[in-house]
Amino acid sequence: MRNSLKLCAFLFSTVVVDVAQAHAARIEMASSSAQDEVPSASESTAAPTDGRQDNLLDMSLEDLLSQEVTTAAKKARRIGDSSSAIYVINQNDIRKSSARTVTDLLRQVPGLEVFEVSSSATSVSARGFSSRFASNLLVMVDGAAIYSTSISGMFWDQTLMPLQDIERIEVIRGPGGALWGSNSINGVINIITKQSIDTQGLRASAVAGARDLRGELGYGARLSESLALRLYGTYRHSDGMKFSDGSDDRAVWQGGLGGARFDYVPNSKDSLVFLSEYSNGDFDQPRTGFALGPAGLSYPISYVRNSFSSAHVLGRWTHTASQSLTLAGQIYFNRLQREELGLLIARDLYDASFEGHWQAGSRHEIGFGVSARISRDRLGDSPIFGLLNKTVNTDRIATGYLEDEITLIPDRLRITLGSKFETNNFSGTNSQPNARIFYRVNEKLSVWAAISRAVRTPLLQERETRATLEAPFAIPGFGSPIPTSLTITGNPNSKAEVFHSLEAGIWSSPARGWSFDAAVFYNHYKDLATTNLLSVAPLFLGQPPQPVGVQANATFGNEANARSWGTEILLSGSLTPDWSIEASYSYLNLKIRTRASSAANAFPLITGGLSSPHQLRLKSTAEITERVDLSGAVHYVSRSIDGLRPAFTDLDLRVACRVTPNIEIALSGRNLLSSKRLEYYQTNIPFPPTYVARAGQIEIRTRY
Amino acid sequence: MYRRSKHRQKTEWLIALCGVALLALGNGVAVAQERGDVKAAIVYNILRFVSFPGSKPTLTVCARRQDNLTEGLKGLQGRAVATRKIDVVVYDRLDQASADCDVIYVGSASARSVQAPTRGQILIGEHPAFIEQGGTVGLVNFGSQVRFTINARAARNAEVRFSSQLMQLAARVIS
Repeated sequence: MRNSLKLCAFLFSTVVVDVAQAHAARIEMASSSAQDEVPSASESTAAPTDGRQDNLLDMSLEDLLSQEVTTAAKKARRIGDSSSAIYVINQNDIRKSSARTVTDLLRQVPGLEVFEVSSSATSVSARGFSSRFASNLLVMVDGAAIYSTSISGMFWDQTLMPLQDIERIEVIRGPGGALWGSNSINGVINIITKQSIDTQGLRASAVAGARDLRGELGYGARLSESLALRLYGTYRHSDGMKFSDGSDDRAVWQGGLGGARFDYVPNSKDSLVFLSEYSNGDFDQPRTGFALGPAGLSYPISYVRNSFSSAHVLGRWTHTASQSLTLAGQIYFNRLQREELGLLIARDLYDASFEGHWQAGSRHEIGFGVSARISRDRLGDSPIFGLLNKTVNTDRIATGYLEDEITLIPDRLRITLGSKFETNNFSGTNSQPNARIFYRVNEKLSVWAAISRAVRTPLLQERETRATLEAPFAIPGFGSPIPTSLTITGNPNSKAEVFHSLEAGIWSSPARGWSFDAAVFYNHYKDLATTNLLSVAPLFLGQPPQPVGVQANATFGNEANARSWGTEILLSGSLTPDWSIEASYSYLNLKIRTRASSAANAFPLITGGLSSPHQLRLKSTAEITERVDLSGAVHYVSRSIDGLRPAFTDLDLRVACRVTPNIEIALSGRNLLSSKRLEYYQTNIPFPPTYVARAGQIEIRTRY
Repeated sequence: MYRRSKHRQKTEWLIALCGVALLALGNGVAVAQERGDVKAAIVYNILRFVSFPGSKPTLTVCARRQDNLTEGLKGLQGRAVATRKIDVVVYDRLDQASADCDVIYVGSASARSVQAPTRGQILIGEHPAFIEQGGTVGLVNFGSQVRFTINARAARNAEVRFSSQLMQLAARVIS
């Protein structure tokens, strides 16, 4: 036994040394031909390079910096090699934008709808279903899913990481991009922050505008050849939006974040990341309800001061077991507390995952992963909002995925077959398979197509909560909206929404430095969540009681279906080496239908009416001189599908001057074409619509 | 018999350990070579973002024969950078480097061990405090990855301009 071990050790080492020596010899052979002419003190070389080095020399600097030496032979995948509709916001885009927040950055993504709701809320959606409470887009930061699974949607205002620390944001439209999660049917937003080693020294930025203040501070250090850290913080203040008469909506928002990140690479095969963040802040929100006075029923508006806090820790280990096998494990814990309309939302989230990527021979690339997630939620606990019959709800979710990318013709034709699997303690088990095909016609043209099934599992609010709203609602049989006290009770039998998608895309490079990218899609949604009316009775208020409206009771159901189709087209390139432009157009056709049998008393939870059929974007970035940059963006959004929100066009401009290599000063203006514009409206809340205001700002960035 | 067996066992273990050591060494050689290729590619990409004064048809990259990266740098021979072509020149000692060198790679030596860069010259090196010593571009190892740092003042003094995009990608910039 002992001899076998020794033999194995020796044979193994011999084989590996041979491989290593063969590799070294190849490089040696390539360079030895350089020794033809050897001057006495110096020599001019003419070394031909091997193919691997040619590949490296053709890579961009950004790709090279993220290149692991042990996997250097693995070719980085370009967007033109992808079989999904992907768009990447890179560091250059971030640096040359006047964005105040992550959601401002997302406005440049073709097909994405980003609408500012208030200082504390933004609606972000892909391929329709725009809503403050949309929950069909998975949002991840450094591999951790950060969207809320209790009250639907993302708390985008709490996405406070320093913009200067973001390495890139990958946005995938459509269902196939996500390996994790059941709530990614319309896409994934993956925010990736920089490694600590990339942010050495002191970096700071300050933005002061008519309505916003923002400060970012970061300090990074390389503690050894294998350990680096970054300490960072952000503070943001917003005066909110405007009413139609130009006055402030008085919804002031302010908050800050502090964090630390450690990157440890003990050897060439392992890397570890440990990240910890804490944020808190507060914001005003308007709240309304019934008030019966001498003049009748009114909806007086009062302001509520809400607070939020969030703390999380994340640890991730990546191990390169061999040139063909990479493994990664991650643990994540988040404690969130937030008030909305003065009502508590609290969550403890525990998440652990393990995944791997295996190059199984020349034809198969296999991806696999398992994950467990526990979410403990406390909600409201007041007469108008809370959990049903319990104080704490615990969701347990286990997911896994398996995917095989099969190369049929090397570097030309491949198919990908895979599926996500999920089981949970509230909606059972589901599978989400997808199949993709990619064909490269030539170096300048590739096409792809995909068919997918995905689900959106019901959120906690659809299953286990109760809420009472007092507002005018369109109740069947009453014509125009009528004052309604609406009590909505969660339905534990809510089903998952089921989604089928067909997609196809083309990528081409019509000229050197230019690329054309287009995707078309057809989606079908089944069992969309609806609000189902159960009973309606007259509502009496006052003394003596007088009828003022109706008292309605409702629950959640799955009584709607929908279909959508559309396209996203992107052309980008450089007019000169210092001037690049990007133009995109997107079209959406979305129809949501309540089943005929339920049409009288069921209403889609998200109407889809706020989405826009047409969007057009044009972006230009130029280095005017070696010190001065000029960038601008025009964005046209057509009238909403329901016709209630008018079309708008906005223009952002930014001029930046590098006073010294370490200091940049920028002046920028947002929404320059009109003094204010309506992006979002809330039909169910009798609150005056709020407008996005024209704003200018000055920004200073420095680095030491 | 027992002693002989024990001696034999020791020898076998020694051979096995040598094998493991060779494995580590061999693997180290491969990783070092690959790291050298990545570094050479990074140097090439950096040079693409640098504007040198003057209008010479060649960009002369000078390196020491003894440095590991020199082999990788030879692979840049003839590559185009803007309108110039790279000419790699290898010396035995850096003090032999001529004034024609536009780029001097000094390996792990201190930036102070060579003459201060003249107009149009940049120094690239891998000493841990290279840019603090007056070097222009430092290459930094971090695990299996490579980063670069920039001394903007040294570049300015040599009338060499680094693009803002390059500065943005640097792990550290001092001036």
